[in-house]
Amino acid sequence: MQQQITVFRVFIASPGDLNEERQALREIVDGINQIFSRESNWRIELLGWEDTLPGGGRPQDLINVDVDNADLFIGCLWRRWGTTTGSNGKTGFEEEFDRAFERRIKTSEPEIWLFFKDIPEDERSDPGPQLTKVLAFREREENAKRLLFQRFTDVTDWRRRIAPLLHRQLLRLVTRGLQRQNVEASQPQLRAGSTSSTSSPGGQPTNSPAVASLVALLQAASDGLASQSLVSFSGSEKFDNARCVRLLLFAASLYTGKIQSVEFGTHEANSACWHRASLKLTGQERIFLIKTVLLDYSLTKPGWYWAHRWRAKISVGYPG
Amino acid sequence: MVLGASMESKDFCWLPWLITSERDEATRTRALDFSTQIGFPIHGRAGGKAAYAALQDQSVAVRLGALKYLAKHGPLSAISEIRPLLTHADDHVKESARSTIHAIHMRSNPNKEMRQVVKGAIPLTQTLIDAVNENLARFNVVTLEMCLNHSSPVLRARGAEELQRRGNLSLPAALQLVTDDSRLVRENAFCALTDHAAAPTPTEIRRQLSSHPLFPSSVTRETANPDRAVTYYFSKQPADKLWSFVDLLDENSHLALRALSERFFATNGQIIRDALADDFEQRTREAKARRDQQSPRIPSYFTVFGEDPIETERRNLRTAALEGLADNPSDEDRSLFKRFLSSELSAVDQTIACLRGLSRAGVAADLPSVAPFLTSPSSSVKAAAARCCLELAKDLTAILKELIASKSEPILWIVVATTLKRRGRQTWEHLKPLLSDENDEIRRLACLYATSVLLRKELLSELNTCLKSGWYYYNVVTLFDRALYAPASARAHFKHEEQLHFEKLSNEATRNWPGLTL
Repeated sequence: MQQQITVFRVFIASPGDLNEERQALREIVDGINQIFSRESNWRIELLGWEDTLPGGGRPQDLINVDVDNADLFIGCLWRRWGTTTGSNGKTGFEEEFDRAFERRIKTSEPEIWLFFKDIPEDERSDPGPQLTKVLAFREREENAKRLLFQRFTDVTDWRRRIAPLLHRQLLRLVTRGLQRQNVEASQPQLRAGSTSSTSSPGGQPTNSPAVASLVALLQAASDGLASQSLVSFSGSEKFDNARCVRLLLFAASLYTGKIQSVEFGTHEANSACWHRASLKLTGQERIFLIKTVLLDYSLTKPGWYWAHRWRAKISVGYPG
Repeated sequence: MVLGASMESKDFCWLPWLITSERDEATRTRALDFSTQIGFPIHGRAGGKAAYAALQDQSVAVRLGALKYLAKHGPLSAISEIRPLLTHADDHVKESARSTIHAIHMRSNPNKEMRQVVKGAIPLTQTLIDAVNENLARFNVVTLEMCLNHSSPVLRARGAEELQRRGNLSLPAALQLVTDDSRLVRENAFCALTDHAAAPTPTEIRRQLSSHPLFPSSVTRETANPDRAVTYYFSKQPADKLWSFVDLLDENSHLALRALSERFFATNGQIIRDALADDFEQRTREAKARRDQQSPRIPSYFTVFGEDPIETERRNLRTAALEGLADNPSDEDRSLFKRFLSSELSAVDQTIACLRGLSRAGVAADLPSVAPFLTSPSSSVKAAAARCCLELAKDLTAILKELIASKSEPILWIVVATTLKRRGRQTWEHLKPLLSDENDEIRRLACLYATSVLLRKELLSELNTCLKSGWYYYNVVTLFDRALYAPASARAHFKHEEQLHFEKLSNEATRNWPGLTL
């Protein structure tokens, strides 16, 4: 049976003094792929300068194509900052990082992780021009706290740190895929009406605005977690209220369907009403809110908006 | 009412799903109740036959909810689905299934089914009582007469009431029923005796229908309304006979005067007016003299323990006369209405009659006489005063502002009901600030007005304004959300719920002055 493989592209950027770490990463990725390709349709593709196909033009331009396609950018520095690669005066690492970071600002992608191999104290006290640039970059990023940032002592420590991170990232992606399937499969009895031409049998249309917005939200949340911006005390500010309400709603609707019956509280129902125009909800989420309203005996939970003009065909499966 | 497979049925596509697929029992039960309330057809194909699926639910509460729905909306074909529950382990389910089958049959063939219920001495459950009430007008006389022999006093009373209403309660039956255990049955029997010109005196009717506080003559808890039977008696009497009852100044005299006002005002209005102008002094004096002649030396109970019953009835006569004049006012009555305005709590009905009369015979200059009653301790008097002010005021906007500023529930009820009746929308500008009033009932009244008169886009704008203000009361947003987005049948149900919610206030605000509703 033909299986569609989903590829997670990881780009490793580092000057030439970390070849041992690059090789170690390649071995780790191979190991992960061996496990995951058996149990799921996910695999990691590791990209770096050594994987770039030869071709005409500036070599760095060819490498940049891989940088632009990467889902995860791993920057790794030790003593060297690298050599300039063209007329812009930037080193290969510098150009690759800036390119990835600019894309991240615009599109929230790729994920960026930075690793710095420890420098002996005596070298720090008398750094050469290369190390000075590395230390300045490191200090800048340490202060900015905008990216995942770690230090390691040697290649063993590197292995110990990078492997679980990659495992977790891939698990998150697999889980997200499963969640997406759950969203689609969670309304087996609510079939989309004739308004969608792309509905799948027995499920929410896979390209419906409700599912698409949920996928985007979970992606953004995942990104926020990876960059630790959502788990720092002030990080949640980057997540606007409408997205917070949607996440709560999604989680509550999952919880009520799987674990224990819950309803939205007064404040939550009113928040959903407040953001109603910007929320595109799945059938499962709508049902959850409607249930909340139906069980509201205190006249404090608005939510008929979610039932308004909602069309779905019903199949309750009664045999009679 | 059961919805057809219309567009509206699509608005409730989630309802059958909740009934059949929701994990939470309370939600499934609530969804069934809601279907029953709005009449959404969950037994048909459009509703996924969810009611039948619910009959097989593991929860007893859900099964009972499904039976309740089917009792009200189920077709004959539902019976085969219900029948297996007749052997259910739970007695409630078993009993409810039996009643539901009877209720469905009764909808289809009321006479045949009702006779079977009576013959079989089937216990009357609430489901069956509801079915009887629903089909009462469809029962023929034979069926209704059979109901008179049922062990249930409720069913006997319903049967007697319907037979009497139709004029089909025979004299022998009525004579038999005046000794019934049930006071409600006796009440209708006395009305029937009046129809047959065989009724005892009003005093005797009242005596037989009034319960003794210590020794109730009936084992049932229902109460009769002696006033209704006596009023019915008076409705068949000529004017001269009614005056003789008025002159008795006993507990029925005011009912006789009321009957005179209602039926013979054209020829007796001036006599009533004169009697009121005299405050029934002459008639009272004569009544006391008659009593003293009958038992001159014995000090009566009232002289020791309370008010003279003749004086009590005099007040009732005063009120009845004022009510009669309020229904048929002339300019000269204006001074009478003002004269009898009273701040005494024992004279609430009298004052309401005066205010009602002034609202028709009064002029704007009378407003200062009415205004003090806006702060009466009686809600009904407050409401009547507000209603009177609205009729008399030349500057409607000014009086509306003043009444709204009172923030009194009965007064605001009158403002809302009056402006709704006049189909006025301009009052919204003054009522709108009440959306943020701290009194929950006042906010609800303002919402009721808004949801009744505002256009959809205006209501939407109000909702958004509330939400954007960052500070609002939840029930305001919830009521607006319902009005804007709930399907029509649900909106009708919610409106009914609101009317029920305000029922007590409505009754207070329209005491002895009907004609306004929310």
